[in-house]
Amino acid sequence: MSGEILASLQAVLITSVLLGAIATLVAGIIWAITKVLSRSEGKKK
Amino acid sequence: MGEEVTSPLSGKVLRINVKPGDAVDDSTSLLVLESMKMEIDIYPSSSGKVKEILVKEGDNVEVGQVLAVLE
Amino acid sequence: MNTIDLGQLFPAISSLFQIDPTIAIARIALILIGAILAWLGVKRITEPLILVPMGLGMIFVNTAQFFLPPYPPFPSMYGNPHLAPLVGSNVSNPVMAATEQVIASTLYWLQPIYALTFLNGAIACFVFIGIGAMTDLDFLMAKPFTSFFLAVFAELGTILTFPLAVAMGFSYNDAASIAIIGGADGPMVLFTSLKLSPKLFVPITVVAYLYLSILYLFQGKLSELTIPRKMRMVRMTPTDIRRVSPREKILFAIIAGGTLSLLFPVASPLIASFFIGNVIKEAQIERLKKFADEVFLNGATFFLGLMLGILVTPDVILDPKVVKLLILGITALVLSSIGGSIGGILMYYISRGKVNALLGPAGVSCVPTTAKIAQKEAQKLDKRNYIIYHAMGPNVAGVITTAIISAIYMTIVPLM
Repeated sequence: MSGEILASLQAVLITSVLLGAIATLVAGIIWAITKVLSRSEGKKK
Repeated sequence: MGEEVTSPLSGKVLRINVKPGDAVDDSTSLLVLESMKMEIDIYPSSSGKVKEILVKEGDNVEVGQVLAVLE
Repeated sequence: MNTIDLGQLFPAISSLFQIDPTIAIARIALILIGAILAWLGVKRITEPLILVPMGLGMIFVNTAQFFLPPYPPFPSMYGNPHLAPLVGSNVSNPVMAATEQVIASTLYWLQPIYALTFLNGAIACFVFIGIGAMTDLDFLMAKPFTSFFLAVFAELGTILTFPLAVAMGFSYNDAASIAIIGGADGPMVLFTSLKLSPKLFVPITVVAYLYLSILYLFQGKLSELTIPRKMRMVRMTPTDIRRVSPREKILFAIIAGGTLSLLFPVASPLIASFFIGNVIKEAQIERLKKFADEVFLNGATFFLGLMLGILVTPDVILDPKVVKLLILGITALVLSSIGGSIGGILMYYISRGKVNALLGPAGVSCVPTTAKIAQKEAQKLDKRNYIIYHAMGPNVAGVITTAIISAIYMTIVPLM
């Protein structure tokens, strides 16, 4: 029983780390798109 | 001193609660905007008398658009 | 000619006296609960879109049902979900055969909908296409890091409820499905529990929708209790948010949707649906947008509610797990809301007092309910504070973070 709880704690620890990493990645994608597009728009002008 | 009440949000004018000549203060809801499927009351920043209302019910308004003028 | 037995003429009534009294009481209780749910929705005390069809479904399935089938109404619920619609019941038993005939008129009429859209989770995806088509990505894209920071904190319940549920005796699969309730996203709960807990998906999803429909009753209070007054008073101007071009939004939908699908193929149907809806909206394909937003979303929501209601038969609430589910469900939502407050308070300090901490609980992803709650709370203290646009950022980010967590759970649990 306690082994199961330990396993689930380990699972949510991995989940939290992954969540943080992937959320940052998605936010980074937005940031990168904004940067690239604003640069290409700057060039046109 | 007049005050122009501008729209803080874009949306649709749902209801207008006051008419020209009404005395209002900063806790009087001038009108109700529907924005993001939510009803939001719009309040003036000072008290005064409604001089003019520049929108009517059902109008779509943009951010910064003047809704009403107080005096 | 035989005399007609009145009991056979009104089997739904006579069965009440023939079956186990607990089941008879459960049936009557469910009719009453269904009526209350429908009434709350009709009166607009709760969100009516799901609860009214769900309540009606519960009323009619439990009035008409004359025999608690010894096999589940849709065999799949307890067996292999993929074989389900094909597996018949034990026709050689005349009682069961007779039962099935009557059930056919009361329960089975929705069987095609169940087989075509529930077994594979499609109904949740349909809802997600619609949500995608009505979601403004602007606010998220204008402040990506703030939005995601807050949304991650607002997943506290989704994370902590998993070990809690395991400690209360649930299997890893069921615990993960229950934990997703903390993500405050109905279709996501349905999709995840269909995949991970085909036997428990009905009570889990019903509990999720029940609590979501009353979320606004307690989340505002929770924010007031957890966030200091001055942090709720920070004024944020709607015009501070920059405009995001449709080109940016379409690029984001495709790149983010593609990346997440690459990482989590199991959750790809949901992720794809959401971003497909986004692109339809941003590309301004009006006719598709109308279809996705008005026809598809409303139709899917209706059938989702009705179908769930129809599936709530006495065996569902007589399962002792339901009490634990009710406790864990509300725990998950409350924890997420508190997590949101913690994130909001941290962000208040990080931004040196420029961000209203109410944006944190708005990261609980029930779109747009929690953002509305934040706006209401802000306006309680300062009538001219319009934080709704700012609140939509973490709100929409919350949909994505909940999708990420449910994707991780669906991937990690089978490996445990």
